[in-house]
Amino acid sequence: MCNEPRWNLTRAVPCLFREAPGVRSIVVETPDHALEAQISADFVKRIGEGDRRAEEELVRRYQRGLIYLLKRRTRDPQLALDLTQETFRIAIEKLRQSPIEQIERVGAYLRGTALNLASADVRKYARRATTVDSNAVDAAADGVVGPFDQVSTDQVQRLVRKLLDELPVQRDREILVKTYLQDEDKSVICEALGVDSAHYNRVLFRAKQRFRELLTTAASQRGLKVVG
Amino acid sequence: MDRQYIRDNDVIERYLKGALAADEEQAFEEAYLGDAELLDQLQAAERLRDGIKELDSAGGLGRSRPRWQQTLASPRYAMAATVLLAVSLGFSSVLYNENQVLRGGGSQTPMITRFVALESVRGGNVPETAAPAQDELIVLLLDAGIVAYDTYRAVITRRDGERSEEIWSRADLAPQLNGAIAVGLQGRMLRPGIYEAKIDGRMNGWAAGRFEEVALTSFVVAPRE
Repeated sequence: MCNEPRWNLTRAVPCLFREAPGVRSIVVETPDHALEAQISADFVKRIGEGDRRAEEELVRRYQRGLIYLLKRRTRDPQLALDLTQETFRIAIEKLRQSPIEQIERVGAYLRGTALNLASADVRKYARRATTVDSNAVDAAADGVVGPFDQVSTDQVQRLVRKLLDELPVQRDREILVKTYLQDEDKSVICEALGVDSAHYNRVLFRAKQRFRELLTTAASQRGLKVVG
Repeated sequence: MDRQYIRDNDVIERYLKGALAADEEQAFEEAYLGDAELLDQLQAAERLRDGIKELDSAGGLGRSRPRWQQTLASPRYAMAATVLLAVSLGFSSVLYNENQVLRGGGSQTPMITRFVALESVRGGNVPETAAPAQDELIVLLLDAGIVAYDTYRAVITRRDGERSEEIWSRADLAPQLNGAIAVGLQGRMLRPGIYEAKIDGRMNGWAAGRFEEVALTSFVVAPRE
């Protein structure tokens, strides 16, 4: 039985292939509560045992999401980085000391800690010197950017223009404009344009998928490594 | 909160505009925190949203034209079209195949003399074209939509007050010319009046007769001066 966590592809995939040599592909499930609990238990156990690699994996897994969340809440990129580092410091200290299964969902715990820091005396916390001895926490201050962060505003405008031009039906362009510019609700848009919910979902899904492709191409052309 | 729920309930869009309930917001944030793929989707949607707003501020919205219309409007295309007319493009197999009427067999293949690009516009001006001569061939270029269906059906209807009369239809069509559906109509079919061009899409494997509406475009054929 392969006991490697399935979200950790570098460990799980070779393990699964060893067990079932005939397998040609493996479907990796999207994270859900059960998987998140499994991931959390793995982190709690390994970090509790002093596994420094587990600390690095914890940071790698949650860093981008935490920075994004905190940027949204604080509207201050530098503060978001500081708070992310502080969140990991608190979490790793706790995980090193906590008995197994005290923290059921690491993601929820990190979110709660981060938001508490953001809503408290944020500057005081953020500027406090990091005391925990952890390379992973130090790395969290590096500010991992998203794959699209380096695409300039001008470039994004050109890509939006391109996307809209690729939508031959005026109605579909209106779906995008009403959704993102006018912030109208789906039901209102569907009624106004005479389309059903399935059509709306399809147009929006395809448009976002296409836009992501355009962003990914633009980002890679700038020499960035595209993740995802 | 799983991907299906997020997609079906516009969670990303509602999150970006701050319209999620507190428990939904918490569940969504916990979901994307450790999910790089979901975070990518969220960030791409945010850039799209910001980009549309910035483009609008810069006055860049409202001048959007489909690529195939830009192509048709370009001088290079006009020159090419002139040359093509000179060598009787009426034999174009693409357009010929689209038109069952033509395949029905006249003794003489009419000349293509006009392309009419129709864009589905709601609340805007209805496209207008001058009535063709009897032996003229009008080629309507119709929106095929963003969703790639396996096949398309086109129906051209003439509207006369409450009455409507289907003048041409054909299923099993495929997009041509940069994603547009090309429909060739003989001039005598398009007498002055109001018309509608409806495009429906269909996936292989769907139940017989099932189509989804792709575009509905009205256009006017004006009397010749």
